[in-house]
Amino acid sequence: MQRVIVRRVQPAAPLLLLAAVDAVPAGFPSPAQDYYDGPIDLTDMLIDDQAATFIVRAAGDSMLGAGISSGDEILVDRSKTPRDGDVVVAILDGELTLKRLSLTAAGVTLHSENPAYPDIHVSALSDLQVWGVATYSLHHLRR
Amino acid sequence: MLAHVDVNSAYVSFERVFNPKLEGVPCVVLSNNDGMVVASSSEAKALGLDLGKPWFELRPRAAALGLEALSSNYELYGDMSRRVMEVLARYGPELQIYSIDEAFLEISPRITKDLTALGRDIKDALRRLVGVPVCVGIAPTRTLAKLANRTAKQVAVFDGVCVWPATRPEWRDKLMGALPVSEVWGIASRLERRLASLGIRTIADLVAADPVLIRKSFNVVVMRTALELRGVRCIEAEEDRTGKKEQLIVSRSFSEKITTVDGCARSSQSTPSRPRPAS
Repeated sequence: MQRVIVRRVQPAAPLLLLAAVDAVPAGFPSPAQDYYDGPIDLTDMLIDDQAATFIVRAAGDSMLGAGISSGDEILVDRSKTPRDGDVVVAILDGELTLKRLSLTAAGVTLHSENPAYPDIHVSALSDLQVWGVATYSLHHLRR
Repeated sequence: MLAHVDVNSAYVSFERVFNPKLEGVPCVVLSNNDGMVVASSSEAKALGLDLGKPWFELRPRAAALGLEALSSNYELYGDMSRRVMEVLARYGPELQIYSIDEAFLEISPRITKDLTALGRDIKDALRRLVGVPVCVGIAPTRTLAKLANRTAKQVAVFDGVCVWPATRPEWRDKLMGALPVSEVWGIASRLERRLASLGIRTIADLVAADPVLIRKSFNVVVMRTALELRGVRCIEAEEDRTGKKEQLIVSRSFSEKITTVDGCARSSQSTPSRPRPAS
């Protein structure tokens, strides 16, 4: 079972990434300056609905196949309607868990991206409580 | 028109978003250092566990009651509150954030939508986006919007949304005739006793009372409240009542019941005082 720890988006200051800017030119102004488009705002880039987006931290190895490792932060948007193929946070036995949602004519399945974990079948989407839809995984490349 | 929106059992509801196991279970949130109950779920209230109960008294009974106790996490509540307000602000440009879990929203006269549908929209959006249950009261004045919200919360048929002007007039009269005047926003229990001496016991009594007499016997604030109950808008957002704290409590409690002088002396010695700020 992949458990998640829910963290909240810190909304106060947007995360800013400075796009590469040339060093201050002493003689000739940089020809790139006219193309400078301002810094990249990660909050703006990654989050559609700030009120409805939460950061959860993944725990466990059941979603390895989806590129989610234990300790990665996942952005979860509650405003999105779950679709077939989405990675979702679902409520299973009172716990929040990350799974791949499969919606087919045969029924609703919560699928782990790790063969060690069995699929969970649900008869209808209404029987399943989807907490939110995962939109981005902040996978740690350096630990 | 104004909508008054508040989160049901706010602190417990905020906790439940991240811990769905607590749904339907009696829950209390404890003050800093787990001293006493500062918030309780409706299930806990039904057990008589309300604000101010010391935790050391409850702890031995908690397991038998199936009670879940949580240490308060104000950072979380502040963040969830901000989310609630952000969603509410989408429904109109004028939002008065009244406290961590309640707000008044001005409904523009240009909104032609059925008000009950609007209230239900707000309720559903907060459940879906933030994950919390709220009640909505809609009325022409703040005082009536609060009363409508109370009605939405306590009368099951409303299912959490009450539009005061859409209710039947006879029904409203009956309700106001049955409710004590202390159910009105801004009427404290001390005022209730003084009003009773003038024969004003129910909300209907206050509505029927002569506003000038009310002003003479009490003050302009009580008169405004009486007028607001008649649908005359006279309490505005700028009159920030939040600044006027009814009570502030800083308290310390012992971790168990102490019945001897000796025990009291020992406990007081080992109770550290508030740490002084580092200089």
